Amino acid sequence: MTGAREHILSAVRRATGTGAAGAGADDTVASRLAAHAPNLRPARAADNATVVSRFAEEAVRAGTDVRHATGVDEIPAIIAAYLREQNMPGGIRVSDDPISTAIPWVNEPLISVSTGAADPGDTASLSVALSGIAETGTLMMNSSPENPTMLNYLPFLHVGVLPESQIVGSLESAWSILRRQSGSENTAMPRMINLITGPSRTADIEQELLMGAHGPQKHMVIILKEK
Amino acid sequence: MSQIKTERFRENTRSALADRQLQAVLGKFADGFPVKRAQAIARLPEFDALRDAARDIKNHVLENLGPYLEQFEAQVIASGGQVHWCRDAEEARQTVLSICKNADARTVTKSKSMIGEEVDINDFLEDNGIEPVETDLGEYIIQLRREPPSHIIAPAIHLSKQQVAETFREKHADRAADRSLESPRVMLDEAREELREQFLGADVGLSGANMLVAETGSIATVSNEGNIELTCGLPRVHIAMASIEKIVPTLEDAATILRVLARSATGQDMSVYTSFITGPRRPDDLDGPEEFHVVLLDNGRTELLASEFRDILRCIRCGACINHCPVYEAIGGHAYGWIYPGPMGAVLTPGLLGMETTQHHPNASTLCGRCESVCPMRIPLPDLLRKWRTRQFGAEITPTASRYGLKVWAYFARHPHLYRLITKTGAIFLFAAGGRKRRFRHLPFAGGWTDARDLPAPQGRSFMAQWRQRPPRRSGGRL
Repeated sequence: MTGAREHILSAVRRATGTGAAGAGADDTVASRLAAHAPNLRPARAADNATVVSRFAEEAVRAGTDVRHATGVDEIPAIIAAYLREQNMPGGIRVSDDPISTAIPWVNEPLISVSTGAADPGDTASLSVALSGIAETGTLMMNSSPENPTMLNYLPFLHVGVLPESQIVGSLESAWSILRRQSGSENTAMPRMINLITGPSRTADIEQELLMGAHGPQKHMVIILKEK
Repeated sequence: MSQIKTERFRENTRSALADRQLQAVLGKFADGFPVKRAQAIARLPEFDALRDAARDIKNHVLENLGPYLEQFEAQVIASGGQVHWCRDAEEARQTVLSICKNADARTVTKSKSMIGEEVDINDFLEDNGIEPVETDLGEYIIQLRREPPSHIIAPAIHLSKQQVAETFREKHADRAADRSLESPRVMLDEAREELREQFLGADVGLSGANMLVAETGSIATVSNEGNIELTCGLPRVHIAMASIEKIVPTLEDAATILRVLARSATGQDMSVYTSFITGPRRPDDLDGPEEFHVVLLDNGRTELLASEFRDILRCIRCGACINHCPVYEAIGGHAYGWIYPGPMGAVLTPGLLGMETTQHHPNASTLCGRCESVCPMRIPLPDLLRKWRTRQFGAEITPTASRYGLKVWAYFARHPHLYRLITKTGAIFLFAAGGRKRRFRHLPFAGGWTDARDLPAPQGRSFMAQWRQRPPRRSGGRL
């Protein structure tokens, strides 16, 4: 609706007192976008030596099960123990990320591993996070052909593997990783970025807090320390 | 479902106050969100400074909204999406319908959207043979009951668990009639199962958006259940509906707003799921929709932008003002007669629907100021309510008796000698008439007071008379 577009934009310009040319406003906007400067960041969001422990602490507060691994070879045992503990079936859907494909599952023959996009029947999934945010214990999952997003949502248990070196203080620092990764100051945004802080929940019936609304009822983060 | 009944506010209020079930649910309200919010803020000493930063971001956006909207549009298109500009609710409905028709859609899954409520999209789709399915648990429950939401972030907060159980028993008719629906857990699991099928079978997913990021052309969504991502991610087509003021400039600005949003809403540091969605499925992606549409709605916002009510456009729909409003706590959300209740609703609703049918909303407030004190965007809500009252007076919407009374009062207020003479005489007269009990059970023109309680009789002299005769202060000087 071109008519509607022009109508709305000219009403906005009248209301804000910027002329049709709007050169001044355009410059203001362009320089703010180019600078993409962070605003105030709270002290607890600092990028310092304690980001890993703070991430773990905040993630646990949010209801995440946090585990530590030194090397991908420890991951199968962690998953196997958790599935047993939760009395879950032994299948897991694993993303095609270089880190997840390096996981040696042979030591856990009871776990059956599949790859590809999430299937509604999947009970557990594993994919790799781009970053972890210590301020709130939040995982940053980016969509890609290797890490399809529905892995984060359809199964009962989602496991996010988080390389320790990718843990930062704030969301702003995670955006910097994204901007660096895309090789330019203009971010090349993935189709979907999921910031995940704990398992799915609702309090819509009489304000009673319950885990596992539509997304995973269990959310695990494995903090991976590369050897 | 979202029929507009704002002009019935007074009648609605009376029945809400007399509704015992509603009052029982509302009685628990103050122990929920406000307590959790206070706890979250106690852990963040910079919270007030972050409110300033959040306010400044939105003020900057509103001052430069034109170029930001154009930038957002350009980035959506660059990432393979489409933008649809809609002046009013009707254009938005027609736009959504035509996208659904092009997709041969039979069912549409929906995540909670206040813009969807505002344009009443569900009824419209149904009338056109398309089945909309709400997926947020609260919205799902009220959709089954064919009720409007009573709160912008907790739409079913007016219901007891017994009422939800009755609804599920009636509407999930193919399940065993004698099954137990005792606990919210059981009800949630049942809803999750029902909705899983809907998620997987839907042709179109319809969501709202908490923010529109101009820098990247992304929409940002916030939820705790995970239903938004299943709504946006599984069907072949994703439509996001948002009003034009939802713009933020950059990803960094979005981060600032997120710090105040969840804390103000549910008292979480961060909601469980915050997602940034940019365009449709990429060439090698294994999942995601093939089409991505943003429906940009004005519906009165540009008029508010040009008016003295611009500040309300900073609102991020956290619900904090509602959660702290003594009026909302007494009457609930349905009494307001439309979808935006509480203080933000009392300011926004007259702006969107006009003053004539919403005259009671700005007056249903004691201007206690709690709303402004908790608003993360520092919107001066009591001040904006007062501005609506002033406008009502100017437009002669205020009832004749009140306007006449106010004019009489204003005359005397401008003539202090007369004013004092009258109050002095009145005080003497009431002192004499006060009788031995020193109180009045009935008083002409003061029924609003004496119907519910006695009025203490004055003790004879006016305040001004007493003030003049006060003993001199030792330290000397005037106050």
